[in-house]
Amino acid sequence: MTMNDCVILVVDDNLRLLKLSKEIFEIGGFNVMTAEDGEQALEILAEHKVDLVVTDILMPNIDGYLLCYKIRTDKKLKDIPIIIYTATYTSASDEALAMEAGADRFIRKPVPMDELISEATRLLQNPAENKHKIPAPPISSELKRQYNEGLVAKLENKNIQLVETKAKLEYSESMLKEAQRIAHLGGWEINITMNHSIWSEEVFSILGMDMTSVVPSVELFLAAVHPNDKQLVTRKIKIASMALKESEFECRLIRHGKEIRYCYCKYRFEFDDDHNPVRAYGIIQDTTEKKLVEEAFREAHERLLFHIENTPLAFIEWDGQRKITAWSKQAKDIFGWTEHEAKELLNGFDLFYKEDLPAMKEVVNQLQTGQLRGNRIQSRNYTKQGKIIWCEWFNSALTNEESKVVTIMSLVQDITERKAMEEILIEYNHRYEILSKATNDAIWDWDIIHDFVVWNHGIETIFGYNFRQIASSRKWWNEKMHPEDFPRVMREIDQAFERKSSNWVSEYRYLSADGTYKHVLDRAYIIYQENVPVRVIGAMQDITEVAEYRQGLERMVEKRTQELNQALNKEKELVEMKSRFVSIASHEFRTPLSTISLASGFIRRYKDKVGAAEIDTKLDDIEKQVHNMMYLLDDVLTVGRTESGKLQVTLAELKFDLLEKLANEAMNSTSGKHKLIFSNSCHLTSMISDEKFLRNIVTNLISNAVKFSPDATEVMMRVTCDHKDLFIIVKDYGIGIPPEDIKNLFTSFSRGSNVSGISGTGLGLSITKKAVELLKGTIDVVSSLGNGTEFTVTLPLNNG
Amino acid sequence: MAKTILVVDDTEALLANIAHPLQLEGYNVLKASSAKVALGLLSETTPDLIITDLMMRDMTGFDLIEAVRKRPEWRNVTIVVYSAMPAQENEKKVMALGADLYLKKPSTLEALVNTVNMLLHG
Repeated sequence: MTMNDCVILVVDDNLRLLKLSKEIFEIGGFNVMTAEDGEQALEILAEHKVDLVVTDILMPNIDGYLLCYKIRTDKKLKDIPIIIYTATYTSASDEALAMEAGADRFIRKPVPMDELISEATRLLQNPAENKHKIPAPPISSELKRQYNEGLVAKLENKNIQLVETKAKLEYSESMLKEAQRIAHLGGWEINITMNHSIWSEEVFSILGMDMTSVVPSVELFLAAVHPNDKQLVTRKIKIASMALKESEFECRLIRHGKEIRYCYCKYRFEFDDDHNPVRAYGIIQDTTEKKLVEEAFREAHERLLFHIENTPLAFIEWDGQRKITAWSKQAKDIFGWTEHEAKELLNGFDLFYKEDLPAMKEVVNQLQTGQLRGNRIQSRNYTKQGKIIWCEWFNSALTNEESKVVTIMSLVQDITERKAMEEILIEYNHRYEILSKATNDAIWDWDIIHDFVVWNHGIETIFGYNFRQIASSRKWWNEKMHPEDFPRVMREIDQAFERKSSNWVSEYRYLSADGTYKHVLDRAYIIYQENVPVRVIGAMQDITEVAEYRQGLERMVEKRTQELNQALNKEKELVEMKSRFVSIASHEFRTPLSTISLASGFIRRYKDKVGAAEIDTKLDDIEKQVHNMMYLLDDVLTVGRTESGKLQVTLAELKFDLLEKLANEAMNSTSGKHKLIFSNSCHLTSMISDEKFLRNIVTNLISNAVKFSPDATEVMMRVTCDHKDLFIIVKDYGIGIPPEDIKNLFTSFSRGSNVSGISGTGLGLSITKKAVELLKGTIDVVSSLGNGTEFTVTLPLNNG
Repeated sequence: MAKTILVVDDTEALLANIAHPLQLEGYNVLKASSAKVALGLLSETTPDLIITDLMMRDMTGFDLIEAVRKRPEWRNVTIVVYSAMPAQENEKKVMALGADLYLKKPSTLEALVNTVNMLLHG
């Protein structure tokens, strides 16, 4: 028969153990039936075929022993093998009792499962062993049983408790393991006598080792320690092994050959009765995460301390009672008190100037009551030397968990210099304001880089632009500049920039709001950065009045200069004319004198050689030249008189044919080459005039006409009149007058530029014009160079 | 053989009064009332002496002297300037142009005749 066909009946009044036993045998391949006590077992045995009975001893009603007896005494059941399987083992007599009752085996609980199965199998395979004799009725044991019942029950109970405790222990162990894992905490121990180490799972995990492939040892641990910490750890272990005292250390580990972990070890020793160490045990904890946080915190703290020590601000911490608890180096530098002095001697409020103290007290009060979290205040403070300095205080309150103020922290900066600078700046600004108002200049500040121009009020007072009209750009400025001045001013600015000149001055016209231009004197200062002009500051001064006055002066000077030059030129011309006159006049006198001299010399030298007729000719020549000289002299004298205003007009009724007579007279004194063409279209018989002036006029015009037309054969004189004027027109066909000479035609001593070789004094026309003017008339000339000249004299007929 | 004198003057009365006594002195006298006329006469006859005025229309005495001195065949002709213009300014100028003597107007007849005689016979 096979085990699979075998039926085992398990009997136990403890249902948990019953179930456990059933499972064990089923694993072993048996068919299992169960009964909760002896009575129930017998019922099953009566109805079913059972190959083996496994029973507990202590059971209610029918116990294990009685069950054995009843089986052995039953004809049908007597050969079934029985195993007593019990936890209640009191003494060796228990087994003897069981054998006596007919049991085949006595097995104490617990046994390994395999043993139980193999024992059952052995019994079933050797049925020959099971030729049982009928046992004695278990009466003697019955007493014993009853006697031990209480104790046994108690033991049974105890056993259950043990099993439960073990289960709890197992549970605790698993909890501990989990806790170790979570806490990165490993436990270890060294059996010193056996030199044997035990590590918990977490130790391997911390060291990064596979617990199945290594054998725990101190050396294995040391191998994982960071090289730099190895010496420390070795020493610690050595000291521990000598001193055998509770100890601890921290070190770094290298996990997986690269990862650095921090760990903490703590351990103690166990001694035997003779105080020899038998066991060392301890924990190892991975503190890397904690360490990193600590490290970060430490660094942050160090940084903070560094900043406190190195900030230019003094760091002061003081409590609610004004006692100073922290005093940085800079605090000493500012206030002069050392840290010790400040902490021991000073009350925080001692530092404050009495006028500024109330304000500071109020701040502290508000900080303490939570009305303020932080504040900034400027105050005057005393130094140790009693000097008063200006400080800026940045105060904040530090509170504890209950929001109660613990300390006040203050950062303090010495701003005495800044304050002084501020005051200077304010003073300067004030002065600048006054100055800019006083000068009444338009002051401008041109930021070249950003093309931004700032003006002072001058732009309003001088030019009338209000601040809304002003655009802060150079373009706006340029547009106001007079277009005629703009290119020049731009050029001047560019030149100043090129020369890296720090000053630029210019004058130009600038458009006012009312549309007029003001003259400005603009003086500017140029600021360079790395040779690049970046800013120009200037002042525009209104010099309109000055400029206009200056222009007026300039115009006046120019006019006077012109007048003076004219006068000078006139004077110069006059001088030149007079000297020319002298030379011409002397020439004009010398020529007739030469004739006279030669003619008279001729008569004297040749009077005997020549006839009377020749002598008469010479005498005629002499007379003629004497006349010429007289006319010439008259001219010169006339000019002299006209110029000195001594010439008087003497009006008389004259015959009208006087004019033709005068013309003929004039013709007679010429060389006689020319013929006079005379015409008169005026039907008057007389006129009122001055004969000598009329003679002057006609003689000069006729003689000039002849003189300046040497190649012509005739000259023309025409007389006409209308109801009020008389016109005398003298025309020749001569050389003409150059246009540029017309303007000086009637000036004394002036002669045409084309008359060289034609003798004359330059007096004739001057005398003529004077005569015409004295007769209240006018004289006009029309001339064409090379074609001839026509003079028209207009004289009023009614000369009264 | 009588020497030839060319007299140039645009004042007719004076021209006659210069020429006449020189003719009586035995010279062959040519009269020109302008420098241009003088140049015309010169192209036909080369005189021994020229007496010229300075201030004349069209062409002055200065121009005449210059023109005469330009021609090699007239280089040896003696030139006397007879002028009313101030000698101070003009004497140097005419000498530079090639004139030989500056005689101021007015002069006595003797001065004129003696000068001519001296130049042609002295």
